[in-house]
This record gives sequence, C-alpha cells and structure tokens, in this order.
Amino acid sequence: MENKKNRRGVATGIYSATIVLLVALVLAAGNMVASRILGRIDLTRDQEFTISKATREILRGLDDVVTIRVCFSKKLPPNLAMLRRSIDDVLRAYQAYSRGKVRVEYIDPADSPEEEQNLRYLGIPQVQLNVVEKDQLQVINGYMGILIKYADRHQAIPIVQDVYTLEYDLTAGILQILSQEKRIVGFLSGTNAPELTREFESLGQILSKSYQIRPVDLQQGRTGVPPEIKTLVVARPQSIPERIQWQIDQFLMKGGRVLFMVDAMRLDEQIGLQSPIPVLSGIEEMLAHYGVRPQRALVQDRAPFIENAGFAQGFVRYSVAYPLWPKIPHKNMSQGSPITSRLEAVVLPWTAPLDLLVQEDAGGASGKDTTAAIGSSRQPNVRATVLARSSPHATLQKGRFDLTPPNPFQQLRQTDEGQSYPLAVALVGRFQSYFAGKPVPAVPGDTTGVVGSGEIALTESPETQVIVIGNSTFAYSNFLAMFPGNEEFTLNAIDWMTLGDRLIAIRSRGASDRPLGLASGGGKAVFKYLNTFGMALLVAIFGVIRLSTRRRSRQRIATQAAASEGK
Amino acid sequence: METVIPIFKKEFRSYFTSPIAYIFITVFLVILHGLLFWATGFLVIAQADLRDFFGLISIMLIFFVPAISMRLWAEEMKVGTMELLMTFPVRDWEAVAGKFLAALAMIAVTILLTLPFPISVALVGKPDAGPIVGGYLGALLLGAAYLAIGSWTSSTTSNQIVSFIISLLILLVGSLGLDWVRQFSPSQLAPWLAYLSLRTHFDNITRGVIDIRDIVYYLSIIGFFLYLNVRSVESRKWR
Repeated sequence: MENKKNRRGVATGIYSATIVLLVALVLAAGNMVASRILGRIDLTRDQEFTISKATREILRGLDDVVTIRVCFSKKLPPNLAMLRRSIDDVLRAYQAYSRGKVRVEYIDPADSPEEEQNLRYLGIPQVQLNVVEKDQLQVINGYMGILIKYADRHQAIPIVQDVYTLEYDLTAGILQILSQEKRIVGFLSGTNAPELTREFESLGQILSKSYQIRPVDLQQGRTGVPPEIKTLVVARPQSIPERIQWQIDQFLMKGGRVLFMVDAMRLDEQIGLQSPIPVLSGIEEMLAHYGVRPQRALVQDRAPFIENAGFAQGFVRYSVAYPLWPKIPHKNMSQGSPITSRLEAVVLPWTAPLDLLVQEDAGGASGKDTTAAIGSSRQPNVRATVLARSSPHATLQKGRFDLTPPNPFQQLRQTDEGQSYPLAVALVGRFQSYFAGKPVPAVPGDTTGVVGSGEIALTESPETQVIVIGNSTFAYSNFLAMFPGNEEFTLNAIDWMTLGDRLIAIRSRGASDRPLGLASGGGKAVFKYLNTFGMALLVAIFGVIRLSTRRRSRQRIATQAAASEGK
Repeated sequence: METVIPIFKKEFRSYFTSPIAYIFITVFLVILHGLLFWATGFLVIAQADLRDFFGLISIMLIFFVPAISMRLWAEEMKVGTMELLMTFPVRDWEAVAGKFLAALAMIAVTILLTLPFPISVALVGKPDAGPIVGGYLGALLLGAAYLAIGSWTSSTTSNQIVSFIISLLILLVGSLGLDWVRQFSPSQLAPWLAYLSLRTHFDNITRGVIDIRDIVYYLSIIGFFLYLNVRSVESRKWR
C-alpha cells in the first residue's frame, strides 16, 4: 500500500517536472522568436534610438547594394556584450528601411589573417582590450570597426564604442561613399592664421572623419581658394592683408561658404591671463559689410549663464564660476536653426559681442536684442539668424581686458543690469562683394603686376552661407573635450554649410546637457528635504488618520454591540 | 475570473487596514530619496537625468518586494487558513492571480508615490519625458517579475523569514549577481547572461525604448513563476 503511494508520488513528481520544463521551453522559444522581431517604441523626445527621417530617405534612395560589414571580434570584454545588440538593432533598421539595398555581414577578422591585413589597409585598426579570464586581467587584441562598401569604394568607421553617434557615422559614411568625391573643407592657414595643429588639432581630427581637410595658404594673395573647396574656416585671423580679404570675398562671391571665428584678444602662453593681447583681425570692416561686426570687447555674463573654470594660485588650485566664460543654454540659442535647435548648451570663452547690421530672420535666439535689427542697404538680400546670445544680464569689458578670475571666497555681485548680446550669427542670402566698386587689391611685393592680372571681380554671390562667431577659443582641443556641446556646435555649423540640413538631424541627438536650474544653496536644500520627507510625511499622516479613524469606528461598533447585548 | 476580483480587493484592502502599507511606503520613499541625494550626489551633478533615480528604485525593489511577498502564502500556511482557502470554490490560479495582483497594486502605489520627484525635477529643469515613462513602466515590470518570484518562494514554505531570505537571494543573483558574473564570464557566455539578467532589460526600458524583447522577457518570467506558484499551491493538496 505504502509502495503504491510512493510510486504514485514519484510519477506525479516526474509529470510535474516535465510540465514545468515544457512551460519553460515554450517561454524560451517565445523569447527567441521575440528577439528576431523588430518591434519597439522610442519614447525619447529626440527619438534618440530611432532611425531619423534623413537616414530613411537616404536609404530609400539607394539604387544599388551597400554592404555594411561589422568587423567585431567574437572575444570581446563582457561589458561590450550589450553594444553588439545595440549595433544589431540599428543595422536591422537600416536593412528594413533600405528594402534590401543594405546588406549586413558580421565577421571576426581574427578568423582569417588575410582579412585582418586587408582590414588594416582599409582603415579598421586592431585595438587593445582588457579581458578578465581565469581570474587574470589579460590584454587582448580585437576589432570593433565597421566597413561600408559600395561598388569598389569603401568607408571605414574604425572603432564603434557606443551607438550614440553610430547612425550619424553610418549615414555620413553612406553619403560620402555615394558621392564621387569627398567634400573638402579648407582651413585658412599661413602667416596670418593658425595651422591645424596644437589648439586646433582635435578640430582637424573630428572634421577629418567626414571631410577632407585642406590647409589653405593664400600666400599673401598670390593663389586663390581652390575651387573644389566647399567651405572655408577662417579661425583666429590676425591682420589679414587686403589682398587675402579679397580672395576670401571672391570665394564667397563664387558661392563658397565661410565660417569666421574671430577673436577680440589673444593669450600669451608665457604670461597667461595677466596680459591679454588685443587682436585686430583686419576683416572687421569686411564682416560688417556682410552684416555682422565683431566688437573689440569681451562679454561677461552672470550665474547661471557662466561656466566654472579652474585656476591656480601658488600651490592652490580652485574652481570658480568665471564670468568671461559665458555658457549659452538651449533657450538662448536659435530654436529655428538646425545648427542649434537640439543643442543643450555651448560655452564660448572670452568671446566678443557681435553687432547685427542686417535684418534678423524669425526663429533666431530669443531675448532682448541689443542692436536693432535693421535692413541694410549694403546687403538687402541677406538675412541673419542669431545662433547664440548671452543672457540679458551680460556686460562688456572694453579697452584694457582684465581676465583675472573673481575671488573664490567672495560672492559675485549679481546685478540685473546689462543686456543680451549676439555671440554667434548665421547669414544666408546673396551677398554683395565688399570690393564692389573698389579696385582689386594688388599682390604685396609684386612689382611686375603679372600676378592677378586679368582677374574678374565678382560683385554678387549666389545663395550662400556665412557664420560669424566672436571667438575661436571654443573650438580649441581642450574646450571641445571639456564641453561636448561645443563639438556638436562646431560640427553642426560645418555640416550645415557643407552637407546641407540632412545630417544635422542625426548629429545633435548625442547632446544631453540638461542642467537643473537650482543655483542657490537654499534652493537645493528645499528641493532635497521636500523630496525626501514631503511625500513620506504625507503618507505617514494619512496612515495615522485612517488607522485611528478605523480604530474609533470599530470601538464605536463594539460599544454599540455591547450596549445592545446589555439591553 | 469573477473570484479573482474579490480576492484582489480583500488582499489589497488588508494592506491598508494595518500599518504595513504606510510604514512600507514611508520607509521606501525616505531611503530612496536619501540615497539619491546623499549617496549618488544628484544635486552635485545637477542634471535633469533620472537614470540614477530609477537605478535606485530597481535596487530597492530587490529588498522591498520580498518583504511584501513573503507573507502572501507563508502566512496562510502558518496560520492555517491555507486549508480554509482551499476549501472555497476558488481555483488555484484564481487565488494566485488575486493575491499577486493585490501585492502588485501595492507595489505600483509605492512606485507611483515617487512621482513628485520627477515632477519637481521638471519644474527646475528640462528632463526628457520618454525615459521617465520608460522608467516607471520598467519599474512596474521589474517589480512584477520580482513579485512573481517572491510569491512562488512564499508558497514553498510556511516560514515568512525563510521565504524572504530565499526570495532575496534569488533576486540578488538574478539581477546584481548575473551582472557581476558577466564581467568575468567567457565572452561567448556574456550575451546569454546579459539576456537572463533581470536588470539588463530594465536598463533598456529606462532609456525610453519599449522593446518587444524586454516586454516578452518580463512576461515570461512573471508567467513562469506564477505557473510554478500555481503548481506549488496545487501540490499542497496531495502532500
């Protein structure tokens, strides 16, 4: 009898275990199926994890197969395991939207030595990665790159570390590969302008991902801007001679786009902040003719519209809110311009205010304008957009600049005086030449008159773009590294001028500076304690009231019951 | 089905007719915000980004959900009301569902009472609403998965403390443990461990992306452990 019961128990146990196992298998299969379905809703405001419309249109327009080869080592540090899934997500969307025109391949280069060699040649390097194996930290060589191939052309994304810029990198790569030639950005260099090294090294590296960067040395005006250059960057110009001004002007008249980053002063590396050297760019009048005049002044703002800067005094290092580093929050940037519409913040250190001399377009940065936007008779067909402006409480330093930081132990004087100054302006339209009606400047030192003879001066440009920013410091390598918004801003500006609006919608999605507007210590304390104890206290009070009411009503019922029993 | 609702109502009401719910919610809110302000330095970073906030909720649920779930079945067995419950014309799954939903509603109320924090952040900053919606949905799904596991362990013992400890261990291993082991696991195993981890899917949802894979994963975990729960309750009959 006992045996029979035991046997039945064992049989039931086996039956139960089998059913449980089956249920587990069915659920596992359900998960496997779900993992192959591309079904997701992106709730983020900027659709951060969704393929943008720009990419979808480019993918739909493909007329031949583009192959995206994911060159990832199978053996990767475990913390990168999720990166594979995220990359896979993005690429599946690419496949889906391209209607089969995008083909995705996954390879481990380590499987074939020839493949490894080939990839290195194509621009996918081997990288060193830390892996813990058998309780030991090992450094292994691996690959984390993506190669885009189209016909006999290719474009490499050397290392993919996160997916925030993956869509931009992929789409920019596809665009580059589809266009026959790589777009060229010129960087004015030579005797009166900096090289793309030292302070601008990072800028050059960042731009070279998407563009071919070419230094443009105008050799005192003997050679013109090469015609294949689409966009010219004029950074930190100093005493630009008239002949070079003419070359830049004529480049603009031919439809070229120019980004001017003009400083009001220069720091001597030896002396530091003690004695800034005022700078004359030599192009102030030309820029004023185009519609924007950089003033010879520095903008100082007040908290919270300024950024902290680190200083050393003897052996003491300290960080202090520095009025000469204005921080432009989203609301003080143009919401209508694709360059700034999605940026959270930009820091413009030691920046000069700009006078706006042409009609301002609707959609510029909001705020009180210091210079009444006037229709200029010199540029009737040009419209300005203020990309970034200071807070309404900014003041100016003029004459001798004093860059010394405020005493960290002293409260900064906060006044409500001051006004809002434009700090970065985009100009769009048909420009009138600065040299219209003037003689063509002679080439310095040319006595023969051969150089430049027969040049025809253009007096009006086709529809083109100019951006003027009141400093070049914001694009120095250390500032690009410190403030991600600055990198976004610079790239968006170059992209806007060179590629048009298409890529900008993708680019800005990485920007995520969302500062809390809690400047004072008192405000922070209220925020902290109210959140920690406010709701908890309400719940506790509610609980006490409810439970005591309940107890009282139970007591009343008990009393009534006792009374009725007594009767 | 019509028996699920009365069980749900009775169970849910029982939380609020004793001090349990009030103490639970008050302690949860104070510890959550305390950790947020004093341990993660939320106001030092001063960004309208709620990832740390939801990250803390997910960790706190590991400790708080077993405290709720431990009494679901263990108490019935200890007090002896289990037999009584089994004599009612209620199917096992209905009893399991009713109790589960009531405890889930209790957890949902707790989580929703943290809403003043994102609202206050929105008043002084500009947070992205997507990850906040995702964060709450993720917290609810994670809480439901934890609860399903806790409810099952509660049905396997008549001792509430034992139930609490077993649940806590399973949740610690299933979330933080798997994440930790993943750091040292062979590369081929890492994606599987990442998929199995209860928190990985939560992290995905709190980015603001509702992915069918993460939803299916949580529903599978909830379904599987509730099924085990039903089997466990059933087995009481022939034990």
